[in-house]
Amino acid sequence: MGGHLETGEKQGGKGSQDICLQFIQQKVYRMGSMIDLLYEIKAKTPVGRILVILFHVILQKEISPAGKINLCGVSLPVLAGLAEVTEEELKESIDFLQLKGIIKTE
Amino acid sequence: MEKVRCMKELDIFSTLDYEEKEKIGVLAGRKVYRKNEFIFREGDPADTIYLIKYGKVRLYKVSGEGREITLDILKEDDMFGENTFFEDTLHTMSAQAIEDTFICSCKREHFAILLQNSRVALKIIQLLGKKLNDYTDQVASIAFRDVKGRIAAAFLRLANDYGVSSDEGVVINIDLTHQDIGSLVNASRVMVTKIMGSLRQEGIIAARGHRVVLLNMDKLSEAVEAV
Repeated sequence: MGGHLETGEKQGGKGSQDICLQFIQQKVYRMGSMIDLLYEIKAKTPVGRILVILFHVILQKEISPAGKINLCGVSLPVLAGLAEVTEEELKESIDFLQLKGIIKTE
Repeated sequence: MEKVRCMKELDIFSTLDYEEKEKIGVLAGRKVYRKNEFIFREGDPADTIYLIKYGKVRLYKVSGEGREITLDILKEDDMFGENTFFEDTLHTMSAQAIEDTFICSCKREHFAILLQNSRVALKIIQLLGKKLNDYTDQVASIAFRDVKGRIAAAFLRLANDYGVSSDEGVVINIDLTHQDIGSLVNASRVMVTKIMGSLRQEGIIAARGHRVVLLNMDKLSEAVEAV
């Protein structure tokens, strides 16, 4: 057998295997991001506290046809106050959430 | 042949025929991890995928204050160590056996061979999709529900994964201390004890040692939706 799993007709070409691996990596990345958020919320870090507040704000907003939620009008100092974080922690948290692709600031 | 038995009976390979399952055996490692033994720690190189044959594994991270934050409890047929799908990465959490646990493992390069089979690849994608949904539900649960709702939601989820029907109701077939439940739902042990007392008084659950019996699923679902 020599460490090779030959599965005849069930094997795809190299291209389809690469696509499959990329798809799996995408899923693992998303899952990793969600686990990160779960950790931040459970550990009650500044990021986690801000996320919880944002989730509640989001509930009051409408989702655009593109699946985006516009949080314009949400005051950053108010957000920091509600989440009980400093403005510096807020900035770091927003940077983190942007890096994860969860929010985008303009 | 032991290696073959290890891998071939896992749900992830259930769609393969006998010959294919035999071939998988040569790619697998196997080990029984004793209770509290680490499978890997946060920061270790991620080069192996793990599949649980039997037993339970806790995934957790340690917070800045030194608190252990439980992220998941895995059981038979669950997969973990998915960071291995990326090259040159590290584990971002620790995995520890919470009871004697038999684990089949597969190095990255061998798993790539398994992925050549479209049915195995599809199973893995389905497994990852389910895990993503579960983690999303947990995030939403902690963000939007009070402690009672979170405990009720956790019991329903655990019943789905570990539930065994009995004359009394659905037994969650896993030993859980109040501290364990607190770690899962992000509440203090004292708060868990208080809420569980209230759920018992309402006739929704019963405790049998460290196991929880769900007596009234409808009322438990109502507790989830109450907030």
